[in-house]
Amino acid sequence: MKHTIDIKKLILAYLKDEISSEDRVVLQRWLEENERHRSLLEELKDEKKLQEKLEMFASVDIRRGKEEMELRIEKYKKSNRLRKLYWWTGAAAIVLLLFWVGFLQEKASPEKPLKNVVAQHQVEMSGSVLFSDQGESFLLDGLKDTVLNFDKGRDVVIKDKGRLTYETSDTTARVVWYTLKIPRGGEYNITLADGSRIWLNSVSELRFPSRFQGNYREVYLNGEAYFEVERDEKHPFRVNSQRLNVEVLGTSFNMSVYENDDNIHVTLEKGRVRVCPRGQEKGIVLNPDEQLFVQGERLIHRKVNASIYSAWRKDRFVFEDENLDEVMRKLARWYDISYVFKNDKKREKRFTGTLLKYGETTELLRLIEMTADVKLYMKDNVIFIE
Amino acid sequence: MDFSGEHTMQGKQETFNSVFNTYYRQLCFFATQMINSPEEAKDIVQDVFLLFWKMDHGKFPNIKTVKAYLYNAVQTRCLNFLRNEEIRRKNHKMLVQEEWDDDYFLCQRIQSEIVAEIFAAVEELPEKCREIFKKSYLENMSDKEIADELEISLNTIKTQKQRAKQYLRVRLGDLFSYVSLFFPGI
Repeated sequence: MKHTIDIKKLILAYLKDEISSEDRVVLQRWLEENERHRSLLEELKDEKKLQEKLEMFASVDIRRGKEEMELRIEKYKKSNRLRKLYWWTGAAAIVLLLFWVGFLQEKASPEKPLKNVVAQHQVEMSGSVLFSDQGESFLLDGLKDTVLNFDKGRDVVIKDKGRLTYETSDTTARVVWYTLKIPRGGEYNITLADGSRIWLNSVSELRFPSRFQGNYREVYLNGEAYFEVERDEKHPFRVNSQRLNVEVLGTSFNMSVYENDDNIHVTLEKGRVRVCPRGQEKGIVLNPDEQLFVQGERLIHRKVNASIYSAWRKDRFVFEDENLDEVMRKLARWYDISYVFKNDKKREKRFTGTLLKYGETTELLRLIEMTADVKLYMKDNVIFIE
Repeated sequence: MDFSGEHTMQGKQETFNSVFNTYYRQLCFFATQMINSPEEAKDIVQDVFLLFWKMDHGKFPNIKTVKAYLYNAVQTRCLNFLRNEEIRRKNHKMLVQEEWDDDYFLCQRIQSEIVAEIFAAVEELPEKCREIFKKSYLENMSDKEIADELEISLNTIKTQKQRAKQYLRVRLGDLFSYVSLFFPGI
């Protein structure tokens, strides 16, 4: 900064013709440094250019600037007061919450609840199994980031981390049908012979052929899966399930069709699909961010945020105003636990939030407690909801 | 600059006002020179002053550090503005004629301060004298109009203008000839 001031003073002195011979040498040296320095002085010596600059300087309206500045400061003061208020209310709420949580823990302690059930269950969990119609079975690992390589010399190759890639070595060979079963707490990612990718959620079953034959590419699903179907207009892709089937050309969609669930749904992320509930010939066409929700016999065609329904693929549970019954069902499927509602009214409690799949159960149940106004405790792998 | 009155709200306001009065114009000029838009420049400078207002002024040991802080903050914002502008317009040729190195900003800063200094000379005139001078040369009012507005005689105005010229000639030395171009009729 010293440099700036010195040079500025030298230039000023030079312009006023008051510069000492000593300073003149210093200034001369600075001017010799580069072209820019020289042109700076030239511009200041150029009467026309200096006039322009002075005009520009004079045109800065300091009175208006001051008024605007005062308004901005006032606005800031106001928002700051609000912020402080929020801070205090927030702090007070946290203190209350801490008291309440402390109270809960004390109350629940005789039951020895919660602790880190997740970790325990993931260790004990059995892997996914791939059955062939030849009576063979392969144990896959349902956990993330595990590598399992084996090659039976036929048309199944399992490679990569926690996912099944499937290669057809011989196109003339007989088509073999496989069933992939995903246990509680597991999930799996598979690539079919046509390049379509499927993510299978916990407690799901997919039946698929070693290669596709005929006009349709057909697979069978019980459970929940997310599909990214490779485009092939000559061979539509069809997912069959007990209560409905879905026909597509090439799209991404999520499908939840658990046999024992009352509510099943198909949600479209990209492209177009036709959903045909059993007994309906024509079917219903879905556009992106639309869902067909089947509640018993009722069909509800509605607009949704599709990404929420496939969030399970991204290691998250996302709940958007879902009732506690639905929430517990999803959690039980993933963590391999059961649950009991001690008070049936609590089933209808609403819950909104994002939970990490691989997070700690304690955290998770606490979060639900806090937002859904219920009390949860766990005993022998059963969550009780009071 | 005295920061000792900082512990009171009033003291803080006074510091702020004095810093604002001293640097607002030259910072606006500095920013306008770089980004070529007086309106954007004004917004940038006011953002910086708001930031300065929020700060604990006690952390500046002296006024030089305040000045350095303000210039640096304005400079950074101008640079960001230019980069965003460049990305938006995708017009690299137009904006990167200058190399944006420290030396460039240094030269811009020197220029702003010199122009401010020249301008400040006018501000140093005694109040009555300055008022007449500004009305005459900045607002282009005739002696008659000034005489009517300020309710003083035409003679007083002529004397005051004469005093202003004398002062500026002494204060600015050779520079006065340039300033007289800006204020034709001096």
